[in-house]
Amino acid sequence: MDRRQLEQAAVALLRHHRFAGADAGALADLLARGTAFEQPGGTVLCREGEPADTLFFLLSGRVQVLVDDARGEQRELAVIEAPAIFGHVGVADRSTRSSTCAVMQRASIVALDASTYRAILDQPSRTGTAMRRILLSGLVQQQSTGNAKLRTLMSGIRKREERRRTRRPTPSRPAPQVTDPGKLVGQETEVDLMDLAGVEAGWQVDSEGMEDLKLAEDEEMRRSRLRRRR
Amino acid sequence: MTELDVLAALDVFAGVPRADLHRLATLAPPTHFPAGAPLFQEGEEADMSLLLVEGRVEASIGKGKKARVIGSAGPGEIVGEQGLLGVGARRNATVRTLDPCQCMTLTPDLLRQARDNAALVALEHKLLVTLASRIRHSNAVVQEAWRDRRKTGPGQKTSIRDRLRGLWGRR
Repeated sequence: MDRRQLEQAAVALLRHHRFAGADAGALADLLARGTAFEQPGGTVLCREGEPADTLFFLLSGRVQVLVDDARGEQRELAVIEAPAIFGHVGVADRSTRSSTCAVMQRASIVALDASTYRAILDQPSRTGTAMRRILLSGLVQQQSTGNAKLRTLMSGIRKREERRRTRRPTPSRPAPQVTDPGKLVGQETEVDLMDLAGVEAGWQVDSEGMEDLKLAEDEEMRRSRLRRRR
Repeated sequence: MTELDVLAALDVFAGVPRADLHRLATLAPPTHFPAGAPLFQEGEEADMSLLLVEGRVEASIGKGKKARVIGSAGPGEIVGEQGLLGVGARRNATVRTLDPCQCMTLTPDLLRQARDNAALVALEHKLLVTLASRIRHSNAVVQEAWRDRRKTGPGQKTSIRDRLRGLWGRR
C-alpha cells in the first residue's frame, strides 16, 4: 500500500475508533510497519487457544468471530465489519486467542506481528501513542457495546416479568400457569441480574448472577414454545 | 511523605522517572474527596477518568431501593475509563468514595498535552491490561452460560442465547 492509501485507511479507522488527540499520520506510520494482504472468504486468520501474536487492522471486508461450543462445534459470536481492529484483547494482555476469526468475504488486512507491536507499544513516540490509544479505544468500545446489549436484555426481561405480575385474568384469557413462580419472578432474581450487569460494567461477577442468566434463558425458551403452540 | 512520594509508591508508576511523575502531577494535581462523596453518576456523560491515589471507592448500579453495589476499587486503579477517550460515552455505574480519597483527574486534554510522558504511558499500559482482563472475564461468564445451555430447536431465533451473541460486538 502506498502512503496515500495508508493515510486514507488511518482516517477511516479513526472514524470508527475515536480517541482524544487522534493522529492519522501516526496511525498511518503504524500501519506502514505491518504487512498488508488480501484474503478470500473462508480463510482462517487466527484460532481459539493459539497465542495472540498478531494484531489485525481490517480495512475492507468482513470477518466472522467463532467459538467452539460444548460439543466442539463452531458457533458464530459476532461479525466484524471494516474499518476495525481485531485481535486486540490478546495483544493487550499477552494471552491466548479467545475465539477463531475467519474471513467472510474478500478482506483487505494489515497485520502487525508480535515483535513489531511489542516494540511500538512501549514507545513514548507518536506511533506508540497512536497504537496504545487505538487499542484503548477498541477495548472501551467493546466493553461499552457489551454493557449496552446486556442492559437492553435485562430491561426486556424485567419488563416482561412486570407485565406478567400485573396481568389480570379475564374470562377470555385465563391466568397463565406459572410452574415455578419463585425462580424468575422474585426480587432476588432481578438483583442477581443486576450483578451480571456489574460484570459487563467491568467490576465483578458472582455465581448467582450466572445462575440467573440461565434461568432467564429457560424462561425465554418457555415463552418461545408457548408462542409456537398458539 | 509528599504527594509525589505517594504517587511514586503506586505499582502503576514503578520505574517511571520522577521528572515525568512531577510533570503529570502538575498537569493533573490530585484532588481530595471526603468519605461518601459522589464521584460519578450512572447515565451521566463521561468526560474524565480518575486514578485512585489514596482511599477506596465503590460502584453501584440502579436507583433507590433497587441500587446494588457491584464492586470496589483502591489505590492504583483507574475508574470511569470511558471518560478518558473523550468520545461522549455515558457512565455505567454510580461511584462514591468509601474513605477520604485522593484522586488524579485524567482528561482527554491531558492525553493531548502529555502524550510523551512516561507516567501517562504507564497509565495507558495499566488501562490496556485492566480493560482486556475485564472483557475476558465478562466474555467468559456469558460464554459459559451460553455453552452450558441445552440444545434449542428451530424457530427459537429470538432466544436470549441469540441475543447474547451480540455481546461480542455485532454491529
